[in-house]
Amino acid sequence: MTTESIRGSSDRSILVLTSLADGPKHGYSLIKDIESFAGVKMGPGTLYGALAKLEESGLIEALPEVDRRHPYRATAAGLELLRIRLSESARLAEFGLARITGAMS
Amino acid sequence: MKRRILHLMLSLYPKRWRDRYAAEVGDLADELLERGESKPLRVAVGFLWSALLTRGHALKGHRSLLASSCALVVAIGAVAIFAMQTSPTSRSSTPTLDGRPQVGTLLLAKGRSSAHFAITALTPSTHTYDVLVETAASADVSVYFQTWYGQTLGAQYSTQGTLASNCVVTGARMTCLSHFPELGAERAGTWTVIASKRSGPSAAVRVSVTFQALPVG
Repeated sequence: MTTESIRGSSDRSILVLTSLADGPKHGYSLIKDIESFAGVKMGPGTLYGALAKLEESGLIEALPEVDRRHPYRATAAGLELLRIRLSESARLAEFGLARITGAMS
Repeated sequence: MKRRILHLMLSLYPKRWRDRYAAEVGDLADELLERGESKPLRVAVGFLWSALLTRGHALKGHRSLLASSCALVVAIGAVAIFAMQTSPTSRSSTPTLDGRPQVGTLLLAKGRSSAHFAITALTPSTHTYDVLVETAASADVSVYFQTWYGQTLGAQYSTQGTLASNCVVTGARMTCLSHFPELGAERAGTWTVIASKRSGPSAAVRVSVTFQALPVG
């Protein structure tokens, strides 16, 4: 799995990385956090599909089990990828909003 | 029944994926269902779709193998989802057990005797539970749980003497209430509640077990 294939695998991976950006979380906490900041309610299959890809790519890592649950943590590479993707999105949003403003004036 | 089918659906994933994630994702699905935060059908469709994508990724470059593998996953997944939809004893048709007492009244015969009933334990790492034991004031009863994976958990060691400090006698009745914290090492599923006594006259024992979800956070 490459960074490019993460890019193509939809925004779910970015949502997971965004959630992990402020610290490790386990599955249930991830679902609740993503729902709170993005309004997206992930199911367990979808969440672990994203977690598996991210872990395989070295963008997140599992921490030792706590109460039968592995918390996950974003790696330095994961945080860097997230920074790049969010910067791209911010530039695109800025460009698009400027065009809309121009069209409406 | 639906939960069992959901756990079986995890076998749709490739073995390597199952070995690493199946226990975790199964526990998470249980937790979401117990808290009433997801529906079995939604979880099942998510498993099917995710299993397809995972197999697709694992078999990239093997087109014929990929096609037959995906066809098999879709067929098995469709049968599982159909079975869930037609299952008469589904969790979705019953109210959540969170905060709801699971009660059994057991009759213990004269002399040494024991009796049991089954409860559904909610995920112990995210739930506390209360055990209320009611019996005759003169009876010496012990209550414990036998989990589906062979663990024995004490609930009320005795209703007499120093082990009954949590018990209150009202007239001829004895009421014992115990509160248990979350137990990270235990697992959800069917637990058997066993009440027993070593001697004395026959006695009726009413046991009520209530699981309560911990606050999220």
